[in-house]
Amino acid sequence: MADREQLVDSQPGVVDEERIPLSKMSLNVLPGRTDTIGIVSAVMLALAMTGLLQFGERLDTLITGGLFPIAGRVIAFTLVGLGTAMFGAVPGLIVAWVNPFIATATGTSPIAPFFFLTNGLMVVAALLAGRLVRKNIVSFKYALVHTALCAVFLTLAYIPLHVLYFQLPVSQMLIIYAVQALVELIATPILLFSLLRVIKSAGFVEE
Amino acid sequence: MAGSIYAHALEGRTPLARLHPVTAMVWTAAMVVMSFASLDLRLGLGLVVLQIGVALIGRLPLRQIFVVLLLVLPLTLFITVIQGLARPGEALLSIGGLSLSREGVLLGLAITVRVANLALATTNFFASVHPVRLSMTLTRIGLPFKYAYTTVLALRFLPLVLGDLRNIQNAQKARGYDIERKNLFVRVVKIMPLMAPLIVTVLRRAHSIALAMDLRAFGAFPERTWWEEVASPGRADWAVWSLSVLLLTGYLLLGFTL
Repeated sequence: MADREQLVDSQPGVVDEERIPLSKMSLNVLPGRTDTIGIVSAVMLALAMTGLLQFGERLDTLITGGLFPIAGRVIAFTLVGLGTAMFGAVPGLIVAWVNPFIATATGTSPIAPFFFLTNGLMVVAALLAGRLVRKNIVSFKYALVHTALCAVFLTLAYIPLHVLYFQLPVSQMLIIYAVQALVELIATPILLFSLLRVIKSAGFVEE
Repeated sequence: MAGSIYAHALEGRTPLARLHPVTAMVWTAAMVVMSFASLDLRLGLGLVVLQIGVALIGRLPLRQIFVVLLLVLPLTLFITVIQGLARPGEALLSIGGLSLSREGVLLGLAITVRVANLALATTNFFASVHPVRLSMTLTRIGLPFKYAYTTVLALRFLPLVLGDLRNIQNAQKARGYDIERKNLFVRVVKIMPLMAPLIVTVLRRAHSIALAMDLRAFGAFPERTWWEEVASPGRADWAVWSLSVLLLTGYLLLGFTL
């Protein structure tokens, strides 16, 4: 590593090469960036999400057995929103779907197969948010609209899951849904907007 | 760590890894449909026994499979308590003004068995299918190679990214920031000092990996060649397919009559 840094420092041309933006904010969101860097970046973001989720899922498992995820959702909304904003729909779906795949393959969550549906909806929310905000995706507005759409879509997706699969009395679950949505609406936009700014200032994004 | 579930198939420690991946998919699909089909506790428990039997015969990693089942326990407790409190019926247990109904508790247990069956089906699948063979099969089915390859890529780089996260966590600890000591309820909001450097690191790494893959002409040729071949389905595969259909039909019939 030290040798490499020395090599980079000693060759001015290579330094410039190292500093070029790695990925542009995807203007063509459908299908998005499907070149190697788009796909690999999406996989790596998904793996980062898997790592970070361990801090959120513990809390969710402790409180509701993972049935009403709150902390996990905040992290997932943030990273799926980021991945879709940066690379478009297909890489966004990779960010969304690699995590349930890994969670199933490593046995970290018994209800992981359901996340294929719910995480996919987060990508739809991010695409719609991008369409609604239009101008500047590195904005608090994008983060807020994405979160609000995610909260609505996921609540609507979880209701049939809770009714049909878990046979839960949904009328009595409304308070939990409200708490979930409230926490998500407060925490996610702050995290997502901060992250988008970090990514932009680090030179990964050109709008 | 339960991570060795897929490593089991990777190292070919199970005879089930020799089956065609589509066979494992058909069997898993049958198990998933069965787990959804009925809420009868006896049928559900029968399915659990069947799947554990398959794991035993297939020499799958039972310890890791039981770890996955242990993860269902908090969910069990939560669902059973909610169902017990919400469903009317004969009181099984009363504490203060709250009582758990027998019907609700039984329903909660049946749902738990359903979740356990789903978890067992997917865990058995990943324990018995080699990721590269899965990737090859997905390509043969029609998924473009570069997307099918993401499964292999994800499993390959998972330890690396988790290692990066550990390094960042240690670096932040050295600066006096320890997320493990944060209040559990605000931990997710305070995750930014880990999240930001991790995302920057993985994006940088992605750039290097993608460059290396492109230099090796990743995706340059429409026809992909493989080091290993997946043989066409044999007699054993046909037998498992037939058994899956028979079991599914029998289970659905029983589910409707019980």
